[in-house]
Amino acid sequence: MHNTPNTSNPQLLLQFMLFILLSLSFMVLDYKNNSLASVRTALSILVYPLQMLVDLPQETAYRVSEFFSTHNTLATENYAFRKQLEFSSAQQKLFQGLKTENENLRRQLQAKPNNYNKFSLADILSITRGSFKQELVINAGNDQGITIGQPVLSLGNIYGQIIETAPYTSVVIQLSDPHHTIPVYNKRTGQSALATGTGELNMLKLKDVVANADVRNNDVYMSSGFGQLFPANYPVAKVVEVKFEPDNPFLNVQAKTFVNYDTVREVLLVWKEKVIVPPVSDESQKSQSPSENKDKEKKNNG
Amino acid sequence: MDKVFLRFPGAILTSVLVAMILTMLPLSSGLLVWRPDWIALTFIHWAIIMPKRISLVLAWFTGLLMDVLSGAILGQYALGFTLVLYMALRLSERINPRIIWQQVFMIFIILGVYLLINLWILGVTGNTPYSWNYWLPLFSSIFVWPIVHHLLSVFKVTRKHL
Repeated sequence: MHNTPNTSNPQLLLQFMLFILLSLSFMVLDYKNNSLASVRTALSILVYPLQMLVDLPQETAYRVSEFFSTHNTLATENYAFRKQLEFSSAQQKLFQGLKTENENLRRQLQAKPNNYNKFSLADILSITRGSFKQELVINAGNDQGITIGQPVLSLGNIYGQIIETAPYTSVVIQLSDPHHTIPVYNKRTGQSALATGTGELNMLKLKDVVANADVRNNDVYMSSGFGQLFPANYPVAKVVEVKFEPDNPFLNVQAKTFVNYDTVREVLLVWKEKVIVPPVSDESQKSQSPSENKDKEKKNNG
Repeated sequence: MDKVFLRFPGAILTSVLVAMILTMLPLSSGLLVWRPDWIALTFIHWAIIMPKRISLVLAWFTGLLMDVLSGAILGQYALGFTLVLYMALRLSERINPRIIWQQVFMIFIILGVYLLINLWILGVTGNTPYSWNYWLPLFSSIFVWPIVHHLLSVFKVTRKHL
Protein backbone atom coordinates (compact mmCIF):
# COMPACT_ATOMS: atom_id res chain seq x y z
CA MET A 1 0.00 0.00 0.00
CA HIS A 2 1.28 3.44 -0.76
CA ASN A 3 1.38 6.15 1.84
CA THR A 4 -0.28 9.35 0.76
CA PRO A 5 2.03 12.09 1.95
CA ASN A 6 -0.73 14.40 3.16
CA THR A 7 -2.50 12.08 5.53
CA SER A 8 0.46 10.51 7.21
CA ASN A 9 2.01 13.81 8.12
CA PRO A 10 3.04 14.41 11.72
CA GLN A 11 0.69 17.38 11.85
CA LEU A 12 -2.32 15.07 11.94
CA LEU A 13 -1.03 13.35 15.05
CA LEU A 14 -0.31 16.71 16.65
CA GLN A 15 -3.80 17.95 15.81
CA PHE A 16 -5.30 14.74 17.13
CA MET A 17 -3.45 15.00 20.42
CA LEU A 18 -4.42 18.64 20.78
CA PHE A 19 -8.13 17.93 20.31
CA ILE A 20 -8.06 14.93 22.63
CA LEU A 21 -6.43 17.08 25.30
CA LEU A 22 -8.98 19.83 24.68
CA SER A 23 -11.88 17.37 24.98
CA LEU A 24 -10.50 15.89 28.17
CA SER A 25 -10.02 19.29 29.79
CA PHE A 26 -13.54 20.29 28.70
CA MET A 27 -14.92 17.16 30.33
CA VAL A 28 -13.03 17.75 33.57
CA LEU A 29 -14.12 21.40 33.71
CA ASP A 30 -17.72 20.54 32.89
CA TYR A 31 -17.89 17.71 35.41
CA LYS A 32 -16.00 19.22 38.36
CA ASN A 33 -17.52 22.68 38.39
CA ASN A 34 -20.01 24.22 36.06
CA SER A 35 -17.51 26.71 34.63
CA LEU A 36 -18.37 25.90 31.01
CA ALA A 37 -22.02 26.89 31.35
CA SER A 38 -21.51 29.93 29.12
CA VAL A 39 -19.91 27.79 26.39
CA ARG A 40 -22.81 25.37 26.56
CA THR A 41 -25.29 28.24 26.35
CA ALA A 42 -23.55 29.72 23.31
CA LEU A 43 -23.50 26.33 21.55
CA SER A 44 -27.13 25.65 22.41
CA ILE A 45 -28.12 28.89 20.68
CA LEU A 46 -26.12 27.70 17.67
CA VAL A 47 -27.98 24.38 17.46
CA TYR A 48 -31.42 25.86 18.11
CA PRO A 49 -32.29 26.17 14.37
CA LEU A 50 -31.29 22.53 13.92
CA GLN A 51 -33.61 21.48 16.73
CA MET A 52 -36.44 23.48 15.19
CA LEU A 53 -35.74 21.81 11.83
CA VAL A 54 -35.96 18.35 13.36
CA ASP A 55 -39.20 19.26 15.08
CA LEU A 56 -40.69 20.71 11.88
CA PRO A 57 -42.03 17.52 10.17
CA GLN A 58 -43.70 16.35 13.38
CA GLU A 59 -45.17 19.76 13.97
CA THR A 60 -46.51 19.98 10.40
CA ALA A 61 -47.90 16.44 10.51
CA TYR A 62 -49.67 17.35 13.72
CA ARG A 63 -51.06 20.56 12.21
CA VAL A 64 -52.15 18.84 8.98
CA SER A 65 -53.89 15.97 10.74
CA GLU A 66 -55.69 18.49 12.89
CA PHE A 67 -56.75 20.43 9.81
CA PHE A 68 -58.15 17.39 8.05
CA SER A 69 -59.99 15.91 10.99
CA THR A 70 -63.53 15.31 9.82
CA HIS A 71 -66.61 17.19 10.81
CA ASN A 72 -67.89 14.22 12.69
CA THR A 73 -64.91 13.91 14.97
CA LEU A 74 -64.98 17.66 15.48
CA ALA A 75 -68.63 17.49 16.46
CA THR A 76 -68.12 14.67 18.94
CA GLU A 77 -65.04 16.38 20.26
CA ASN A 78 -66.97 19.60 20.56
CA TYR A 79 -69.68 17.85 22.50
CA ALA A 80 -67.16 16.23 24.79
CA PHE A 81 -65.44 19.54 25.33
CA ARG A 82 -68.70 21.28 26.13
CA LYS A 83 -69.50 18.64 28.68
CA GLN A 84 -66.02 18.96 30.09
CA LEU A 85 -66.40 22.72 30.18
CA GLU A 86 -69.62 22.50 32.13
CA PHE A 87 -68.05 20.08 34.52
CA SER A 88 -64.93 22.18 34.85
CA SER A 89 -66.80 25.42 35.38
CA ALA A 90 -68.85 23.78 38.09
CA GLN A 91 -65.65 22.54 39.64
CA GLN A 92 -64.11 25.94 39.18
CA LYS A 93 -66.91 27.55 41.20
CA LEU A 94 -66.40 25.06 43.95
CA PHE A 95 -62.67 25.68 43.80
CA GLN A 96 -63.16 29.44 43.92
CA GLY A 97 -65.26 29.07 47.04
CA LEU A 98 -62.67 26.84 48.63
CA LYS A 99 -59.93 29.26 47.63
CA THR A 100 -61.53 32.26 49.29
CA GLU A 101 -62.30 30.18 52.33
CA ASN A 102 -58.75 28.92 52.42
CA GLU A 103 -57.35 32.42 52.00
CA ASN A 104 -59.43 33.64 54.89
CA LEU A 105 -58.25 30.81 57.06
CA ARG A 106 -54.65 31.47 56.10
CA ARG A 107 -54.96 35.15 56.84
CA GLN A 108 -56.31 34.27 60.23
CA LEU A 109 -53.38 31.98 60.84
CA GLN A 110 -50.94 34.60 59.54
CA ALA A 111 -49.50 32.04 57.18
CA LYS A 112 -48.06 33.16 53.90
CA PRO A 113 -50.07 31.83 50.95
CA ASN A 114 -47.86 29.36 49.20
CA ASN A 115 -49.20 28.76 45.74
CA TYR A 116 -48.08 28.18 42.24
CA ASN A 117 -50.31 30.40 40.20
CA LYS A 118 -48.51 31.18 37.00
CA PHE A 119 -48.70 28.60 34.20
CA SER A 120 -47.25 28.31 30.72
CA LEU A 121 -47.17 25.60 28.04
CA ALA A 122 -44.01 24.50 26.24
CA ASP A 123 -43.38 22.12 23.33
CA ILE A 124 -40.93 19.23 23.49
CA LEU A 125 -38.12 19.67 20.98
CA SER A 126 -36.07 16.54 21.45
CA ILE A 127 -35.77 13.59 23.78
CA THR A 128 -32.69 11.77 25.04
CA ARG A 129 -33.67 8.36 26.30
CA GLY A 130 -31.56 5.49 27.49
CA SER A 131 -31.25 3.33 30.53
CA PHE A 132 -28.88 5.93 32.00
CA LYS A 133 -30.56 9.17 31.00
CA GLN A 134 -34.11 10.35 30.41
CA GLU A 135 -34.09 14.00 29.55
CA LEU A 136 -35.74 16.25 27.04
CA VAL A 137 -35.38 19.71 25.58
CA ILE A 138 -38.31 22.14 25.54
CA ASN A 139 -38.73 25.32 23.52
CA ALA A 140 -38.76 27.74 26.43
CA GLY A 141 -35.80 29.11 28.35
CA ASN A 142 -34.38 31.93 30.42
CA ASP A 143 -36.17 34.45 28.25
CA GLN A 144 -39.52 33.11 29.37
CA GLY A 145 -38.43 33.24 32.99
CA ILE A 146 -37.57 29.59 33.42
CA THR A 147 -35.19 28.75 36.22
CA ILE A 148 -33.33 25.63 37.28
CA GLY A 149 -35.31 23.44 39.68
CA GLN A 150 -38.66 24.58 38.37
CA PRO A 151 -41.32 21.82 38.36
CA VAL A 152 -42.82 20.62 35.07
CA LEU A 153 -46.32 19.11 34.85
CA SER A 154 -48.29 17.26 32.21
CA LEU A 155 -52.08 16.84 32.24
CA GLY A 156 -52.28 17.50 35.95
CA ASN A 157 -49.50 15.09 36.86
CA ILE A 158 -45.91 15.78 37.77
CA TYR A 159 -43.62 15.27 34.78
CA GLY A 160 -40.18 16.32 36.03
CA GLN A 161 -38.07 19.36 36.69
CA ILE A 162 -35.82 21.80 34.85
CA ILE A 163 -32.11 21.03 35.25
CA GLU A 164 -30.56 23.32 32.71
CA THR A 165 -31.57 26.55 30.99
CA ALA A 166 -30.46 28.45 27.89
CA PRO A 167 -32.04 31.63 26.46
CA TYR A 168 -34.58 29.81 24.27
CA THR A 169 -34.45 26.19 25.37
CA SER A 170 -34.17 24.28 28.60
CA VAL A 171 -33.53 20.69 29.64
CA VAL A 172 -36.10 18.75 31.66
CA ILE A 173 -35.25 15.63 33.64
CA GLN A 174 -38.05 13.05 33.77
CA LEU A 175 -39.21 11.36 36.95
CA SER A 176 -38.06 8.04 35.52
CA ASP A 177 -34.43 9.17 35.13
CA PRO A 178 -32.27 7.06 37.48
CA HIS A 179 -30.71 10.24 38.90
CA HIS A 180 -34.04 11.75 39.86
CA THR A 181 -35.88 11.38 43.15
CA ILE A 182 -39.14 12.94 44.31
CA PRO A 183 -40.60 12.90 47.83
CA VAL A 184 -44.06 11.28 47.84
CA TYR A 185 -46.67 9.92 50.21
CA ASN A 186 -49.18 7.11 49.99
CA LYS A 187 -52.65 8.52 49.41
CA ARG A 188 -54.32 5.67 51.34
CA THR A 189 -52.06 5.43 54.38
CA GLY A 190 -50.27 8.77 54.37
CA GLN A 191 -46.89 7.06 54.72
CA SER A 192 -44.10 8.98 52.98
CA ALA A 193 -41.43 7.57 50.71
CA LEU A 194 -38.97 8.59 48.02
CA ALA A 195 -39.70 7.73 44.40
CA THR A 196 -36.55 7.26 42.32
CA GLY A 197 -36.38 6.72 38.58
CA THR A 198 -35.36 3.33 37.27
CA GLY A 199 -34.17 4.29 33.81
CA GLU A 200 -37.02 2.21 32.46
CA LEU A 201 -39.69 4.33 30.79
CA ASN A 202 -42.67 5.21 33.05
CA MET A 203 -41.33 3.14 35.95
CA LEU A 204 -40.31 4.35 39.40
CA LYS A 205 -38.87 2.57 42.41
CA LEU A 206 -40.01 3.50 45.91
CA LYS A 207 -37.24 3.84 48.44
CA ASP A 208 -37.47 3.84 52.22
CA VAL A 209 -40.59 1.71 52.43
CA VAL A 210 -39.97 -0.55 55.43
CA ALA A 211 -40.70 -4.24 55.03
CA ASN A 212 -43.73 -4.24 57.31
CA ALA A 213 -45.31 -1.16 55.72
CA ASP A 214 -48.83 -1.30 54.39
CA VAL A 215 -48.39 -1.01 50.64
CA ARG A 216 -50.64 -2.74 48.13
CA ASN A 217 -50.95 -2.86 44.39
CA ASN A 218 -52.79 0.12 42.87
CA ASP A 219 -51.89 2.34 45.80
CA VAL A 220 -51.54 5.91 44.56
CA TYR A 221 -48.53 7.97 45.56
CA MET A 222 -48.89 11.75 45.60
CA SER A 223 -46.17 14.40 45.78
CA SER A 224 -45.66 15.46 49.38
CA GLY A 225 -44.09 18.83 48.66
CA PHE A 226 -41.25 18.10 51.06
CA GLY A 227 -38.09 19.81 49.95
CA GLN A 228 -40.28 22.65 48.70
CA LEU A 229 -39.43 21.94 45.08
CA PHE A 230 -42.52 20.23 43.75
CA PRO A 231 -46.07 21.37 44.46
CA ALA A 232 -47.78 19.10 47.00
CA ASN A 233 -50.71 16.72 46.38
CA TYR A 234 -50.16 16.02 42.70
CA PRO A 235 -50.48 12.36 41.63
CA VAL A 236 -47.09 10.83 40.79
CA ALA A 237 -47.31 7.06 40.42
CA LYS A 238 -49.40 3.97 41.01
CA VAL A 239 -47.96 0.82 42.59
CA VAL A 240 -47.78 -2.11 40.20
CA GLU A 241 -45.59 -4.52 42.10
CA VAL A 242 -44.76 -5.07 45.77
CA LYS A 243 -42.06 -7.60 46.47
CA PHE A 244 -40.86 -8.74 49.87
CA GLU A 245 -37.26 -9.88 49.95
CA PRO A 246 -36.27 -11.81 53.11
CA ASP A 247 -32.80 -10.27 53.37
CA ASN A 248 -33.90 -6.70 52.62
CA PRO A 249 -35.20 -4.45 55.44
CA PHE A 250 -37.11 -2.47 52.82
CA LEU A 251 -39.84 -3.51 50.43
CA ASN A 252 -39.10 -3.60 46.73
CA VAL A 253 -41.94 -1.48 45.33
CA GLN A 254 -42.30 -0.73 41.63
CA ALA A 255 -44.68 2.02 40.57
CA LYS A 256 -45.90 3.24 37.21
CA THR A 257 -46.01 6.99 36.59
CA PHE A 258 -49.30 8.65 35.74
CA VAL A 259 -47.52 10.48 32.95
CA ASN A 260 -47.09 8.34 29.86
CA TYR A 261 -43.74 9.66 28.66
CA ASP A 262 -44.13 8.09 25.24
CA THR A 263 -47.15 10.17 24.24
CA VAL A 264 -46.61 13.59 25.79
CA ARG A 265 -45.79 16.37 23.32
CA GLU A 266 -46.46 19.42 25.46
CA VAL A 267 -45.62 20.15 29.06
CA LEU A 268 -46.93 22.66 31.56
CA LEU A 269 -44.52 24.89 33.45
CA VAL A 270 -45.52 26.30 36.81
CA TRP A 271 -44.13 29.19 38.75
CA LYS A 272 -44.28 29.74 42.44
CA GLU A 273 -45.45 33.33 42.34
CA LYS A 274 -44.63 35.73 45.09
CA VAL A 275 -47.97 36.85 46.46
CA ILE A 276 -48.30 40.28 47.97
CA VAL A 277 -49.50 39.78 51.52
CA PRO A 278 -52.33 42.15 52.33
CA PRO A 279 -51.63 44.63 55.12
CA VAL A 280 -52.50 43.23 58.52
CA SER A 281 -53.55 44.79 61.77
CA ASP A 282 -51.02 45.40 64.54
CA GLU A 283 -52.32 42.68 66.84
CA SER A 284 -51.94 39.92 64.31
CA GLN A 285 -48.44 41.15 63.36
CA LYS A 286 -47.26 40.61 66.90
CA SER A 287 -48.11 36.96 66.81
CA GLN A 288 -45.36 35.04 65.04
CA SER A 289 -46.27 33.36 61.78
CA PRO A 290 -45.83 29.73 62.70
CA SER A 291 -44.85 27.53 59.84
CA GLU A 292 -46.07 24.48 61.75
CA ASN A 293 -49.59 25.79 61.59
CA LYS A 294 -49.25 26.15 57.87
CA ASP A 295 -48.27 22.53 57.47
CA LYS A 296 -51.02 21.35 59.74
CA GLU A 297 -53.53 23.34 57.83
CA LYS A 298 -52.33 21.95 54.55
CA LYS A 299 -52.78 18.43 55.85
CA ASN A 300 -56.25 19.20 57.10
CA ASN A 301 -57.24 20.65 53.78
CA GLY A 302 -55.76 17.77 51.84
CA MET B 1 -5.80 7.18 -11.46
CA ASP B 2 -9.19 8.79 -10.90
CA LYS B 3 -9.53 12.07 -9.12
CA VAL B 4 -12.32 12.74 -6.68
CA PHE B 5 -13.90 16.14 -6.26
CA LEU B 6 -16.64 17.52 -4.05
CA ARG B 7 -19.89 18.01 -5.95
CA PHE B 8 -20.30 21.48 -4.46
CA PRO B 9 -18.42 23.51 -1.86
CA GLY B 10 -19.67 22.68 1.61
CA ALA B 11 -20.73 19.17 0.62
CA ILE B 12 -18.93 17.66 3.60
CA LEU B 13 -20.63 20.10 5.97
CA THR B 14 -24.02 19.31 4.45
CA SER B 15 -23.53 15.57 4.84
CA VAL B 16 -22.53 16.04 8.49
CA LEU B 17 -25.60 18.22 9.11
CA VAL B 18 -27.84 15.54 7.58
CA ALA B 19 -26.21 12.95 9.84
CA MET B 20 -26.84 15.17 12.86
CA ILE B 21 -30.50 15.54 11.95
CA LEU B 22 -30.82 11.77 11.53
CA THR B 23 -29.27 11.32 14.96
CA MET B 24 -31.70 13.73 16.59
CA LEU B 25 -34.84 12.41 14.89
CA PRO B 26 -37.34 11.25 17.48
CA LEU B 27 -37.96 7.49 17.40
CA SER B 28 -39.99 5.10 19.51
CA SER B 29 -38.01 3.51 22.31
CA GLY B 30 -37.99 0.15 20.52
CA LEU B 31 -36.21 1.55 17.48
CA LEU B 32 -34.11 4.00 19.46
CA VAL B 33 -31.71 1.37 20.78
CA TRP B 34 -30.95 0.28 17.21
CA ARG B 35 -30.12 3.77 15.92
CA PRO B 36 -26.86 3.57 13.93
CA ASP B 37 -24.19 6.15 14.64
CA TRP B 38 -24.81 8.20 11.49
CA ILE B 39 -22.23 10.87 12.29
CA ALA B 40 -19.39 8.41 12.91
CA LEU B 41 -20.27 6.61 9.66
CA THR B 42 -20.23 9.92 7.77
CA PHE B 43 -16.76 10.76 9.05
CA ILE B 44 -15.48 7.28 8.17
CA HIS B 45 -16.90 7.67 4.67
CA TRP B 46 -15.08 10.95 4.08
CA ALA B 47 -11.88 9.59 5.59
CA ILE B 48 -11.91 6.82 2.97
CA ILE B 49 -13.02 8.96 0.01
CA MET B 50 -11.25 12.28 0.60
CA PRO B 51 -8.68 12.03 3.40
CA LYS B 52 -7.18 15.38 2.42
CA ARG B 53 -10.36 17.40 2.66
CA ILE B 54 -11.83 16.22 5.95
CA SER B 55 -10.38 17.79 9.09
CA LEU B 56 -10.29 16.91 12.76
CA VAL B 57 -11.53 20.42 13.56
CA LEU B 58 -14.89 19.59 11.99
CA ALA B 59 -15.12 16.27 13.85
CA TRP B 60 -14.31 17.92 17.15
CA PHE B 61 -16.77 20.77 16.69
CA THR B 62 -19.54 18.43 15.51
CA GLY B 63 -18.94 16.39 18.63
CA LEU B 64 -19.21 19.49 20.79
CA LEU B 65 -22.57 20.35 19.19
CA MET B 66 -23.77 16.79 19.75
CA ASP B 67 -22.76 17.09 23.42
CA VAL B 68 -25.04 20.08 23.76
CA LEU B 69 -27.85 18.47 21.75
CA SER B 70 -27.82 15.22 23.69
CA GLY B 71 -27.14 16.79 27.07
CA ALA B 72 -23.93 14.81 27.48
CA ILE B 73 -20.92 16.09 29.40
CA LEU B 74 -19.15 18.70 27.27
CA GLY B 75 -16.35 16.97 25.34
CA GLN B 76 -17.69 13.41 25.34
CA TYR B 77 -18.77 13.21 21.71
CA ALA B 78 -16.07 15.71 20.74
CA LEU B 79 -13.46 13.22 21.92
CA GLY B 80 -15.38 10.33 20.34
CA PHE B 81 -15.65 11.81 16.86
CA THR B 82 -12.08 13.09 16.89
CA LEU B 83 -10.99 9.56 17.72
CA VAL B 84 -13.22 8.04 15.02
CA LEU B 85 -11.91 10.35 12.31
CA TYR B 86 -8.27 9.96 13.33
CA MET B 87 -8.52 6.17 13.40
CA ALA B 88 -10.38 6.16 10.10
CA LEU B 89 -7.73 8.35 8.46
CA ARG B 90 -4.89 6.20 9.77
CA LEU B 91 -6.50 2.82 9.11
CA SER B 92 -7.77 3.70 5.63
CA GLU B 93 -4.14 4.14 4.54
CA ARG B 94 -3.54 0.52 5.47
CA ILE B 95 -6.56 -1.14 3.84
CA ASN B 96 -7.88 -1.33 0.33
CA PRO B 97 -11.02 0.80 0.41
CA ARG B 98 -12.50 -1.10 -2.53
CA ILE B 99 -12.79 -4.37 -0.67
CA ILE B 100 -15.98 -4.36 1.36
CA TRP B 101 -15.00 -6.87 4.06
CA GLN B 102 -11.87 -4.90 4.85
CA GLN B 103 -14.02 -1.82 5.24
CA VAL B 104 -16.44 -3.63 7.50
CA PHE B 105 -13.60 -4.92 9.65
CA MET B 106 -12.17 -1.42 9.92
CA ILE B 107 -15.53 0.03 10.96
CA PHE B 108 -16.00 -2.70 13.53
CA ILE B 109 -12.66 -1.83 15.10
CA ILE B 110 -13.21 1.95 14.97
CA LEU B 111 -16.76 1.92 16.35
CA GLY B 112 -15.81 -0.69 18.93
CA VAL B 113 -13.01 1.48 20.30
CA TYR B 114 -15.24 4.55 20.11
CA LEU B 115 -18.10 2.91 22.03
CA LEU B 116 -15.68 1.48 24.59
CA ILE B 117 -14.17 4.91 25.32
CA ASN B 118 -17.68 6.39 25.41
CA LEU B 119 -18.69 3.72 27.92
CA TRP B 120 -15.70 4.60 30.04
CA ILE B 121 -16.64 8.30 30.06
CA LEU B 122 -20.24 7.42 30.94
CA GLY B 123 -18.99 5.25 33.77
CA VAL B 124 -16.69 7.93 35.19
CA THR B 125 -19.52 10.49 35.18
CA GLY B 126 -21.89 8.00 36.86
CA ASN B 127 -24.12 7.26 33.87
CA THR B 128 -23.26 3.60 33.34
CA PRO B 129 -25.80 2.01 30.99
CA TYR B 130 -27.40 -0.99 32.67
CA SER B 131 -28.14 -3.15 29.65
CA TRP B 132 -26.31 -4.69 26.73
CA ASN B 133 -28.52 -2.59 24.44
CA TYR B 134 -25.67 -0.08 24.54
CA TRP B 135 -23.78 -2.17 21.98
CA LEU B 136 -26.63 -2.56 19.48
CA PRO B 137 -25.68 0.56 17.44
CA LEU B 138 -22.35 -1.12 16.67
CA PHE B 139 -24.14 -3.87 14.72
CA SER B 140 -26.80 -1.66 13.16
CA SER B 141 -24.08 0.74 12.00
CA ILE B 142 -22.20 -2.05 10.26
CA PHE B 143 -25.46 -3.27 8.74
CA VAL B 144 -26.32 0.11 7.22
CA TRP B 145 -22.74 0.97 6.24
CA PRO B 146 -22.94 -0.20 2.58
CA ILE B 147 -26.10 1.86 2.09
CA VAL B 148 -24.65 4.95 3.76
CA HIS B 149 -21.42 4.58 1.81
CA HIS B 150 -23.35 4.36 -1.44
CA LEU B 151 -25.74 7.23 -0.68
CA LEU B 152 -22.96 9.56 0.48
CA SER B 153 -21.22 9.27 -2.90
CA VAL B 154 -23.92 11.67 -4.11
CA PHE B 155 -21.73 14.37 -2.60
CA LYS B 156 -18.68 13.60 -4.77
CA VAL B 157 -17.74 13.60 -8.43
CA THR B 158 -15.14 11.27 -9.95
CA ARG B 159 -13.18 12.46 -12.96
CA LYS B 160 -10.82 10.39 -15.03
CA HIS B 161 -7.32 11.75 -14.65
CA LEU B 162 -5.54 11.74 -17.97
